[in-house]
Amino acid sequence: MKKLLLTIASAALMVTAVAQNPTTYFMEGSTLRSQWNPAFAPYRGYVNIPVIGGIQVGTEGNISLSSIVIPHDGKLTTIFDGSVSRSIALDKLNPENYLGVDTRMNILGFGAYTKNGKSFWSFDLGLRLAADVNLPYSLFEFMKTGNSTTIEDLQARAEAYAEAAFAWSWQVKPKWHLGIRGKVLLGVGRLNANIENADIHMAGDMWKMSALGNVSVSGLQLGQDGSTYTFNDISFGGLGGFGVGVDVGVTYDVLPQLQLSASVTDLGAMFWFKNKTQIASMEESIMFDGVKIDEHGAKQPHFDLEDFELNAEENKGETNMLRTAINIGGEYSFLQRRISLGLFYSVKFWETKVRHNLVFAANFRPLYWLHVSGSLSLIDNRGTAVGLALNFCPNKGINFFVGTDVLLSKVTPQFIPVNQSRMNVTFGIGVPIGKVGTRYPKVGKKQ
Amino acid sequence: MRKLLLILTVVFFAAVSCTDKEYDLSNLEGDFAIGDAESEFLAPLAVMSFHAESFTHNSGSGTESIVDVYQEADIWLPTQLPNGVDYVEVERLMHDFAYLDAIVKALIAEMETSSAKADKVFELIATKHKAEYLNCVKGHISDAEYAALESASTEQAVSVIRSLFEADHSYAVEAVETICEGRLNDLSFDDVSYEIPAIDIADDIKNMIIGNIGYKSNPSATEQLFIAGHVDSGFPFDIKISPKVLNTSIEFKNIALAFGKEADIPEKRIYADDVEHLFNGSTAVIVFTIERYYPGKVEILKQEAHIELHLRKIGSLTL
Repeated sequence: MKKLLLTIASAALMVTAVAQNPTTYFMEGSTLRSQWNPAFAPYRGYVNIPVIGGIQVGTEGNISLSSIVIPHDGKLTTIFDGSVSRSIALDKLNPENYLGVDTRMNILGFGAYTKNGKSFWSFDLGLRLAADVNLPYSLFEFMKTGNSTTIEDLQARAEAYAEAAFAWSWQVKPKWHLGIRGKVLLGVGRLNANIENADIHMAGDMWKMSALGNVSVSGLQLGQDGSTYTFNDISFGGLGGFGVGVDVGVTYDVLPQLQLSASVTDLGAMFWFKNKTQIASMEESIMFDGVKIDEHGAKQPHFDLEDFELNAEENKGETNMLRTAINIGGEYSFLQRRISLGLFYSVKFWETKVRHNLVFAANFRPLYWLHVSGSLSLIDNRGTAVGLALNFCPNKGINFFVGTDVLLSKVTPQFIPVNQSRMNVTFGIGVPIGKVGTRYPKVGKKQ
Repeated sequence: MRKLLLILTVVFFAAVSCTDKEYDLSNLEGDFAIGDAESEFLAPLAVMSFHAESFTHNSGSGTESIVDVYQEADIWLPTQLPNGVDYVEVERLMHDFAYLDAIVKALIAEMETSSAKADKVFELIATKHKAEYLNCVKGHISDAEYAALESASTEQAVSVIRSLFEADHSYAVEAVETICEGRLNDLSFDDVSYEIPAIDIADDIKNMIIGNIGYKSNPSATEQLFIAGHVDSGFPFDIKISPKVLNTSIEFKNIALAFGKEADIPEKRIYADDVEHLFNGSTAVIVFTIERYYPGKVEILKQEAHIELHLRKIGSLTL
């Protein structure tokens, strides 16, 4: 049990360590920028290096590593260690604690300008893994105090799918560019678990635990024992479903120095096959009120947490919406575009939460092929993150970019931010090919 | 070029943040627990129920149901007890002859004025103690009278015993007194022994309770486990209860329980050895010491007593 829990905790921490980095929104030469808004296009056509052509890993949430892991009594431990007092353990937690992970990996990607040098097309094949959990305060409170309680809305959701996308960005009018990306999604796996209500009563006369919840899994095959499912023998069950999605975006050059942009990304849904979906419900209650002994013998209730079983329900197909995001930005350039200032706002709709992010960015383009962006993010009026991104985009050779928003924050030797609840790392290498686009005035030239 | 990119990446990440070695996750250790050092958990353990049939009395000549013993005692005891109290002190009956004698004298006095009480005593002697009675009156009655009484029916025997008593023969009164004294001077209960079966809770729950409390030879200073409980009784006794679980350090002595009341069983610290023994099955032995008996208050047969035991853990429950 201990090993299992430590493993889960470690996995959660790793999750914390490891999506779209808002600092890269104004990094105009980068090949992955169009994922923010399909109206954006890089300076030049490209072919990404397979797998490392674009990796984006990130988390969003309101709990940081230091909320869960703390140095205590000369050792590094979790707040769940029995030696950690409740006052210390519960100090940094919120009424609702949530954590989301969004990871993208570009397997194959290429794009090019058309003959006119204004329209840009690209094709990408990638993998996406997204997950989020909602951990109510009452769960932590119970863990640290042991007081009888009711835990509600304990949720976990994860899905992985392959994404094949074709994007087209074109000038519709002078100053106006539109972009659209159509996506076909192949569902790899999906998990949706929800404990609606768990009552825990621990007193001298009775221990009673009851739980009401449900689990839905697609693309994965849970172990089955009669009419119950288990997570013990989970296996990959083949293609679990398909989906379609679309990103649409627009840019408008208000002035030669001022560009406004807006997009809606991941508008669509996944459809998980009925025959690849397993649905289970849990409505169990176990109770122990002591052994009853009299002159005729003894009677006793059976008390085992493994009695909380997942009862198989009739399979049915499931549909879930993609994690749609709305992105709005504005960028003002000066000094012949060597410097620009940007303001970016995004709102992302998770299954369990809506997340807002406001970013102030300063962008430096000392050379045509070298860009550095710095940003300050305000997340849900709650916290800030300082980010830095570097883009190396010569016309020949390679295109390389890297960005993160853990700037100035303390990190673990494993590069996990200690106090920052959000983290994004973006990294990619591609090879520039084909025609150079005409939509960007050259840095250092009068506009 | 690859080297350049690698260097750029490393320099980038090195520049943007500082490492906190205190948070080296490769050094992560500790346990998973519910609660902290201040936590206190209560857990039910067992409820033992005692019905009147549970108890026996061994008089030396055989084992009797305690119901029979006290139903008979109700006949031997005078309706009005000496000093106007409504109880008899059972322990004192065993060790204080003057006290016993006063009660017997009060019975004789009541028999002399109440034929109903006298008839109950005579009938009891004729049905259960005729041989003892004969032994007491032997030598005081003729052989023919002895033989006739010996072979008499209960009804006839009652008649003979009554006539001898009413004739105010001292030997007949003494015979009643002797039998009464013999019955009242030992109203004790035999010890009660119950088998506690292995407790059917999952091993991880058991381990959670035992946690780090330590064995008796090496107990934890911080995590401690106690056993405690309470008792209640509807039996018409003031009683002292001394339960113990064999082969453990679980033993309580002389928990006083007044008639119709409840009493707490004081806490006793126990150790991992004790808990393992308890969880794996054990034997509980309960010694009941009757202090006072309240005759005629309730029908013993319908009453129950209960011992409830629970655990109290100080410190966390380790998962």
